[in-house]
Amino acid sequence: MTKSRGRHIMAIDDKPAAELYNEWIGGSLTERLADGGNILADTTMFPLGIDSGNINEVSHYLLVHPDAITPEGGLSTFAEIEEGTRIYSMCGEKQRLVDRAGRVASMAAASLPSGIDSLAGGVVVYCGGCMLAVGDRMSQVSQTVADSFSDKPFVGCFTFGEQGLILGKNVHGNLMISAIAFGQ
Amino acid sequence: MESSEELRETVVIMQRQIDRLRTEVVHAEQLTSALEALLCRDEVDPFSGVFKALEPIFGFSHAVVLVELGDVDCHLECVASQPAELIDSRWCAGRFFQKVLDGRAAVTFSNENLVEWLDVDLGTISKSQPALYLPMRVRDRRGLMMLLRPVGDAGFDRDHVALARKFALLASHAFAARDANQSVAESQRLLSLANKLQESQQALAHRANHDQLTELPNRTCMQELVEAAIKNRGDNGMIALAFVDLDNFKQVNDLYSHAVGDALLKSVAGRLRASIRKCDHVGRISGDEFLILFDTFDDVSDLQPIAARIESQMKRPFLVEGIEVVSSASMGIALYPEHGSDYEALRRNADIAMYRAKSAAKGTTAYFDDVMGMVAAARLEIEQQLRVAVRERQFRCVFQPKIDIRTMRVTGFEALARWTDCDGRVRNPSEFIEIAGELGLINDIATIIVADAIASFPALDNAFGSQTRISINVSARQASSPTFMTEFADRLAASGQSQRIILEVTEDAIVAAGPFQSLVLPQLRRMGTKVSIDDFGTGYSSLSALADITADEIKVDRSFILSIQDRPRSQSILKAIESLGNTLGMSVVAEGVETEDELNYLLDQTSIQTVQGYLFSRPLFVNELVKLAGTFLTSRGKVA
Repeated sequence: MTKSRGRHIMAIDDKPAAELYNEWIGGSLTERLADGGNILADTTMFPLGIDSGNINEVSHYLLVHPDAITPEGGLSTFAEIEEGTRIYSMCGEKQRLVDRAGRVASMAAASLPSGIDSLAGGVVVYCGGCMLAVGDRMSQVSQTVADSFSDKPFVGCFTFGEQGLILGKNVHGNLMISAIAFGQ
Repeated sequence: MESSEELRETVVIMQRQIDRLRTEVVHAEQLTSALEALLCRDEVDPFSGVFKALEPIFGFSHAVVLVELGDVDCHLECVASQPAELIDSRWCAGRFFQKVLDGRAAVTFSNENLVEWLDVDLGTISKSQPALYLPMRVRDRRGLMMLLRPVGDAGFDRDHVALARKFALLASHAFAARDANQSVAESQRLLSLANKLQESQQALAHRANHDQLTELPNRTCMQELVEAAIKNRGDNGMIALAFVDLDNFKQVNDLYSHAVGDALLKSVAGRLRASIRKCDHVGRISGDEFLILFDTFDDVSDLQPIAARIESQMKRPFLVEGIEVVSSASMGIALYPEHGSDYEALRRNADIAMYRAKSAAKGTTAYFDDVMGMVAAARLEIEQQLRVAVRERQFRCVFQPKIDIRTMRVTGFEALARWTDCDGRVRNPSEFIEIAGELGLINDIATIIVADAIASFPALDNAFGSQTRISINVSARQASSPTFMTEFADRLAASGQSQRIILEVTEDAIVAAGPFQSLVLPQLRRMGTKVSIDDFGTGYSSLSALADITADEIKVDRSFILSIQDRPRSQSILKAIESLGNTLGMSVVAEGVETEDELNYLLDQTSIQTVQGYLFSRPLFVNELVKLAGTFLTSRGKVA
């Protein structure tokens, strides 16, 4: 990324950020480039990624969600990216956003000191951007969490801009799905 | 495993499990030390030893042990304290302390509101200190241990509580055992608990340090073994680290199944273990990668027969799951201290040597040397420079003119990539294309080159007219990638110059790339882009395959043009190609024309119209080329 300020990416590889990003994601924003504006729902499946380190040589990425095309042809995002950072074009699928909630809940339940049998309930924090993308399949998200939590009670909330755990550190990122499990 | 996302989650889960196991191993060892301190009969005050043993686990600044006095007011008496100022102090047993006395471990971030703390002369201790309370039966009296951290420090967490519970149970039994009148049952129970603790400790240590598939030491364990070997090495002994990588393991997984792959890894582990000496260690560090620590030997010549044995054992067929799998392993060896003073350096250099062995001949062994080190360092440097070069778009085109030898006019140019690095040095593709391919940068470079070629049209048009075309090379891998080729075609279309572009692909690429013919070629045709078969005659395409290729141009490889005037066989081949081109409607271009004699032969003995080669011009940057525009029209306008 060659030029940015705060949550505004102005240029990537010396090109206007929105134009290059549009190329990366297959041109689905072409008609929006001229007028700019909100692209939140269009970009949930195509976030930007920042390499956050690796475990056993497997890279882990912090996701950043572009939410608007600015009048200057840049990208406004829900998290800051420092100028000079290498960014990756990521892609996702609706089904994965559904399944991931269940997997995250399972991981939280499995991490209880007394094991999953001691699970009393939990909290699930689901990114608002993901919720918009999943749309009418939110009931399936809820069901996967319920299955993972063995039908124990849980509360869900939808957020924009999350604090989440990546490689042992709490960081601000986007498109995160987190879960807290409570033991008895 | 369906996605990289799931792979990452699995890796995180496994890492957490390993971290937890290692922590539990350490804690089990520390708890055992604390327990031994309690059981030590010579110690007048057993708690001083206990506090010392528990301090590294819980990180406290103060520790207090209270036991029930047995009076009607339910007071507790301090029987041990660090510092000692609280000894003999009396504490009332409110509801909170009662819960702890009943067997619950608990933590507080502050003790300001606990009635138990109200009437105690605390001395240097503060009520604001975070505390961990654990139940403890001291002989026949109920009691509790209180561990306090300094004010402002983080409180105790749930791991501390879990550990405190274990310790409380063991410590209570230990105190019972110290009692001379302990019953046989109590004594046996304590013995049983101690044995279980030891077994659990051993099992945890094994799981934390061994690969679950092969039962060999894992990466962390191997690192510790190497570090210990370095530390304990005598003055004369030598140590070596070998990096062993199975050849073609991925194909085994792909061809048979992951179950067969796993079974093969277990068999390999068994043979490696059987091939080394008792004093050596073999571990699996990932996938199909193993490390062997040779500890110790007197001379490199002692190592060679062992390495040869391993090589030969790996080449013997493996019978796994009823299937005979023929495999081999490449091995690189680094010596201590010659090739590295610590684990990381030895592993890295053994890895480099392994790659050298694998690239020379699979199933062989290579010893690290300084040249390999320099090559690896240079390679790393060029990799980094190349990434920067792509980011900063340091690639530009040079153009070699294509000349109509019947009119001596320039009809087009072949665009070739050059990398002008930060020092201004111009590098040829031979210096970077292969590495760029391995790093996955080749498409980025191609994109830059295409953009530069298209941007050069105005300058070239001014000098040579607007009837010329630019030929752009596409690699076999790119030609077989519908995604790349579609994007490439879209870019050309967007430039508005697609009709002036010729795409050059090798015959192998065009024959192998099914999607190219069926998907990309029609799009190129619609755009008016022409297709040329490059280096014709050097590939393996058959005439029947050639009949299916709808190309516009054949470029005869320079190897046929070299001294053609003196080589009748090349002359015959060229005639055949010319005839083929005429029959299939493809124009023929002769590449690599470097001498007047070659040119004269082509002029006099063939009907070939277009050539390129150093006789006319080497590849030049556009600003250099435009200066020579007029010279091509004069007596064969040779450019040095």
